[in-house]
Amino acid sequence: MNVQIMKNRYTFYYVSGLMVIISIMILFAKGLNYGIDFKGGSIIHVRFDNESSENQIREHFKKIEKDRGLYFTSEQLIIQSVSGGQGREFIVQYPAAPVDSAKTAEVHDQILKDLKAIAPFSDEALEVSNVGPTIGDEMKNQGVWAAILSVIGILLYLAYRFEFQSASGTIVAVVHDLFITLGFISIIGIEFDVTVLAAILTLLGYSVNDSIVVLDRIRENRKISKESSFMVIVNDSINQTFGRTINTSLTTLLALFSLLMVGGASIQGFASTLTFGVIVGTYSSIFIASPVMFEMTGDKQHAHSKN
Amino acid sequence: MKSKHNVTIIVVLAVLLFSVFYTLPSTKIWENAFGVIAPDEQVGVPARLLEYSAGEDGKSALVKIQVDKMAEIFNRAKNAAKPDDVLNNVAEMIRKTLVDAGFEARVINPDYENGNASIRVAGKTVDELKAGMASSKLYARLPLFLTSLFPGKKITLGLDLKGGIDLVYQVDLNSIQESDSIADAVKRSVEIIRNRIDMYGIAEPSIKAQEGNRIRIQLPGVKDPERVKQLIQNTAMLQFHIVIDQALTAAQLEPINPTSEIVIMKPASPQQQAMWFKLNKKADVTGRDLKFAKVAFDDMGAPIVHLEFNAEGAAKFAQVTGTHIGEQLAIVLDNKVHSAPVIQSRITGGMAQITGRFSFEEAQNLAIVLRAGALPASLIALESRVVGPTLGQQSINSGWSAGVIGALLVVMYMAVFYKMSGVFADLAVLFNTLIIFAVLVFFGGTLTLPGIAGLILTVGMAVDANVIIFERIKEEFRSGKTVKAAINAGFDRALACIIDSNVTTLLTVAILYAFGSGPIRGFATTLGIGLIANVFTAIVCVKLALDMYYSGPNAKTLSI
Repeated sequence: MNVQIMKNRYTFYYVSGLMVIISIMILFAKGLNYGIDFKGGSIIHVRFDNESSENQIREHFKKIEKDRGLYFTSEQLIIQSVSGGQGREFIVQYPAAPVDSAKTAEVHDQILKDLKAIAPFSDEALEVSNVGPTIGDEMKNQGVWAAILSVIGILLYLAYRFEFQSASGTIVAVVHDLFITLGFISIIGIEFDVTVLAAILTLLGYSVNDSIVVLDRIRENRKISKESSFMVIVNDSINQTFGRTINTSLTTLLALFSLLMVGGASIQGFASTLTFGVIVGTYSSIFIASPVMFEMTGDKQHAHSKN
Repeated sequence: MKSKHNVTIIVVLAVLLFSVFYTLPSTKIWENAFGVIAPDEQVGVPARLLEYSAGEDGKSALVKIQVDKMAEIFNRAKNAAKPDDVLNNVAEMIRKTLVDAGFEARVINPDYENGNASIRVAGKTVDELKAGMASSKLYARLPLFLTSLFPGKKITLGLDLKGGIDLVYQVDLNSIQESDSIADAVKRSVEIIRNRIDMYGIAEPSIKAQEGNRIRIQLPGVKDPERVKQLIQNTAMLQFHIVIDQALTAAQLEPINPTSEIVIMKPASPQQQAMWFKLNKKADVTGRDLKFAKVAFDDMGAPIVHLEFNAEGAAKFAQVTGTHIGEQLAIVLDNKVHSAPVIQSRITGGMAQITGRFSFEEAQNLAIVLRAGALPASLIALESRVVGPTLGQQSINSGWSAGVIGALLVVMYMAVFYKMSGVFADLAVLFNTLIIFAVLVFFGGTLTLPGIAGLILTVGMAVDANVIIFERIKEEFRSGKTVKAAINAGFDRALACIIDSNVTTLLTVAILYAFGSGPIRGFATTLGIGLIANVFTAIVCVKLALDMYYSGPNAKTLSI
């Protein structure tokens, strides 16, 4: 197999560049749908004893709002029916109080108590998360730092193990994957919670893997190949490693696929982010990382000059 | 060459033995053999410590459990529980299992001093009860010395899988008394919360002061999380005030002077109206004067909280009740009027009761918090996560099916694509998974839902190393090398590449571990262990398997 990837590399640059620009535009226009981990708020995962509906639950909250007065209105509720919950299981989300105070915990508890009085549910199958604005802001900060540190860490390691050009090519590919995946998360409206952040960071590390396989081969071929054109060496290397790049991604995708299908609701965002990311990552390690590395090196006659 | 193999074989076997040793006690097989009951579900109850007898009424059967004899077994569990809790928990678990099996079972005669209790099953014979017990997983079926050979540790499940509570509070600095130092208030709050939780009886509490005057409380496996949350959150400031006036709105009680205050009495149900009380600002008696508090029942069988004051408190109480006969005395809890009974006569002897308006659980909670003492400051809940036990079980189930399906897909893919070598890689992946579990148990790591996702992801990623190696071996073989040389070259050439790629992923995983909390740490842990173990299983173990497989008559062709 010999696919002319290097000759057509400008096509890939255009496609990728466009994708990245579109992703950034989506991010600016639509933003990320932050989960309560990052923006604060409350989630009640509840299984009622009797069948219910979104409208009914909203009515319940209207009643509580009327009786007690709440810091949010029932219009602000996000109510989802849980699939496989026989119309009894719901996830109800409401915003966080503007500031953390000693009173908020009481409000959350009262809401549960009142809801239970109107529509009984079992405590055994109840999940309640309340995150205040303080913690939400902290998590956002930490998340950004974790992402920045990851990119820097990968860059440093690659710079140490490979020459500058290869490291740059890989980092371009990783950043490319990061933006496009974020764009995907934004447009699909995946709830951006800590598991999705974990998926993105894992992706940063994993997306490097396939690029390394190709770069490693280029490094080797430069030493042993009699071919004088560096472009041909790069193209050959990509072709030689094509099979394993696809296979390694496929096995990971198989595992992710089962997680996506049967892993349960709370892991969906994580699984879909990684699935998409692995596909983009595979594309970029074949069509972006090595070509960019080539651009930085230039097609000079120095195929044998460097180790 | 041969001796080099021998060393590798010994190492691989040693790792295998270690992994089985630490994984086995967490499996279903183990559960079936040794039973599962204990407060922290660590060890089984041996059958010989159960005594059966017929009920004296002739219509029931009894099983008596003797807990003090089990002390030694329970102490093997990491956090030895207190005897009373052990008794309560064991009795309750046996009762529940019997009820699930269709028996009508009740716990009777708990004897905390001697550490035993009985469970009565109505309308059954002793033999029927025995059969019921035997069909449950309640007690050990194999000799206990077998269990004692194995580590007493089981895999720790995270709150998201086991159910439980994870709370972060901040001590409200505005509510601290001026004479109090902040650090001291935080420290005392931690102690008081610990006391309350201990009195309630929870197996493995973790209560820690954190930066920024925060307190983090993690209680895994709590069965009634909402109730425990209440137990922690209550400031439990108990005060008795003389009532000056009461009305339906606060405005009606105006004006107040420096010696009075207006306090709300919340309605018991949303249908009722709130009441407002104008009280003497000075508390006549407070919770600080308490000696003891416990739940009792009034003549109507309703739960009440019985209070006993110390000498000083008793004197104060006698004085205020003596001088205000016919007036109302408001019982104020955390700045809300709980009730305001009329003083009938002078109360001496330092005993009092708080009646009405609560369920048994609420009365029990109140007794505990009063006994443990009031918090020096109110707590602001920054974050609270409460997971009921059945939701966690659902997550385990779906995680398990995803894992099995994912593993099957990957295993089949490898076997189809790389034939015999693929099968070796599959075995290596299974080995890798086993190692992850064992290391988790060994280091006391926690398995969370994202952790399970990490485990599944590891299965997909772990074979990557072998894919890279196998492709390389194919290439080398095609270029004319012998089977042996191709295998050696394949592993040698791919090594750097595999280490590089694992290091970068490990790097981001380490950052995740450092930044993440709870569930995410669980993810970072399983994936991290998996990536490190991967270098061993994919390189050392698969190399050994291929070397051995191709050392004999198979050495001419490659099944790859």
